[in-house]
Amino acid sequence: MKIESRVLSVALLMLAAGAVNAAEPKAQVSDVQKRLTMIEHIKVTAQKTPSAHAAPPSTIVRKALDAAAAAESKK
Amino acid sequence: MTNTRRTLRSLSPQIVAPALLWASLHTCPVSANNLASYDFERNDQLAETSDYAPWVDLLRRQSAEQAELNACVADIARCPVYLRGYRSVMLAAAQMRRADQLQLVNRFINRRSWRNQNSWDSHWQPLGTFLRQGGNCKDFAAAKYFMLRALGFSPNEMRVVVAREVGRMSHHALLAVRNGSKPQLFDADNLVYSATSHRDYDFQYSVNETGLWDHKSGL
Repeated sequence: MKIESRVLSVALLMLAAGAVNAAEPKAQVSDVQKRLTMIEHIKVTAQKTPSAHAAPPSTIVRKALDAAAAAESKK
Repeated sequence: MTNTRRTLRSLSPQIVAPALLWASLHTCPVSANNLASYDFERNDQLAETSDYAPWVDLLRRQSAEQAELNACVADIARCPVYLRGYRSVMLAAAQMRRADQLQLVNRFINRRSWRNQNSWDSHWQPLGTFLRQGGNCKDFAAAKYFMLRALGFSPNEMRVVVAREVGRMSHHALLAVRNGSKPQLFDADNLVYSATSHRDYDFQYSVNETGLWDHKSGL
């Protein structure tokens, strides 16, 4: 009888420990990781066309752009 | 005014509550500070770039492509047709002063073709891939970043900035470059904004090869 009650106590203790363990929160995803995930899901898709308000490029830049366009068109 | 109040009172909570929820989700409050200027000095770094998977992937792919880009600049015989313009620009820019380098790279990249990817595609294109097939605004900004890096600009003086366009639902990417104490923002439409002249962009976050900065922290 005495042994049975000890066994029962140990079993109850083990059950209680299991319940406490189950109630503990799982490892939390850090706030930084949550924010990084939110940032990753931001859609970045806006499309722009050349603005008429843009200042014209300097002569040296325009010449370099023309040379690049010519280089691209050569087969 | 009275009519408006009467109308609002007549609306049932079942209609008003979801409408308010929708409005709060779709119209982000815009802080006046965010619209004032872009600030490199703001202490809002969220993470190292090594913690941000899309840029870890981008930097890995960029590194893999860089050898081909370097070979192209060194030897035209090793330059595929789609990189010939890139080669021409890099050789010309090497002889230019900094302000002209920025203008040239901005204009050259802005002439590339737009390609809409899947709207939820979070992949960023490395420079070589972008030059071959085009991309969307975030690829334009990253391409400028990598070209300027190849010209000797430091990571500390450049960030790709993602901003919400005020009054629209869309997000846009630009390149921010330090210019003394006044940053410049290079846009895909050839406009260049100084600290006080850019349009209504509500900055969300910035990223470069060293870190990610969260401009909406605390909201």
